[in-house]
Amino acid sequence: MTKITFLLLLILSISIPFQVKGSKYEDYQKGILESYTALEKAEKAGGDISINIIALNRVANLPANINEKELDDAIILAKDIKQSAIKTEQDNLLNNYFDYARAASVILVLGASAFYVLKYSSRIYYMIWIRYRGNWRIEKK
Amino acid sequence: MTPKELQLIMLTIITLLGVITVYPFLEKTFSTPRYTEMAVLGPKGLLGDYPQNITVGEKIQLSIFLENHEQNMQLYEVQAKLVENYNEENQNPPFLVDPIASNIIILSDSENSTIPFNITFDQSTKGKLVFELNKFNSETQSYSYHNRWVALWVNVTE
Repeated sequence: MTKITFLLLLILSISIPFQVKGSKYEDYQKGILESYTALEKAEKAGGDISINIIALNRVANLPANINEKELDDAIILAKDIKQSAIKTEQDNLLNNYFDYARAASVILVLGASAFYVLKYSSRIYYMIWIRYRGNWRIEKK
Repeated sequence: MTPKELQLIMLTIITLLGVITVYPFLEKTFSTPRYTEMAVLGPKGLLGDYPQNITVGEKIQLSIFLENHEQNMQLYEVQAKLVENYNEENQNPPFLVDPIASNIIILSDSENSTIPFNITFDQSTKGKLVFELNKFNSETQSYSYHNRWVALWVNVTE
């Protein structure tokens, strides 16, 4: 019984580092996908993410047999890229709201102008016509 | 010029100004079709000159060319699979075999890249070396087959 227990403990102690590295590799892959999702949102918000894409591409294709330190560095880098993407998205969302507000106000002004033209175009026409046709006066009788 | 003509001219100018204002927001609705270009390149990085008679243990160098025309950034995964006893009548991608190699790449809109694949076969075989293109979907957080694949016939001998 003691020998079996010892053997089991030995096998477990040898396999634990591989299990930890295996779960770290899953964290790394998950980190890449989360960073990509954040970059997608930043792109939709109109942010410039070209540098982040280059950085994520460099991190994304590490081989499965890299050492733990490189894996840790890659996980940290992926998190940095994600944070950068979130900040870019937040910065650009405000700009987008201004763009929409600007477009809405322009359309409002144009709509009011169209209404004014429809209602008063004849008056405008004759005001211009009278001004340039000479000495026209309305005489009160 | 009559008052009606003046009214028409002014309304036309106002309409044009309105279209110019909203056009950037409507542009995506009338945009060109979205697609991804995919091609397999030989050892020299060109179309053609593909290795076909390969020996066991020999490393073959191929590249996959991708160009993104999906109107936004994409995360692509290219999987290399060996489909033995390929039969055109009843085998369609995505093939249900384990990939022998896989690479991912992120491309901006209108960007292209070449992904290298160095493949070595451990045993003799004959079939089709297939490269399938998958795209990452942020909503489902998973890759899905993107209806793009390229393939080469290979004959691996001792």
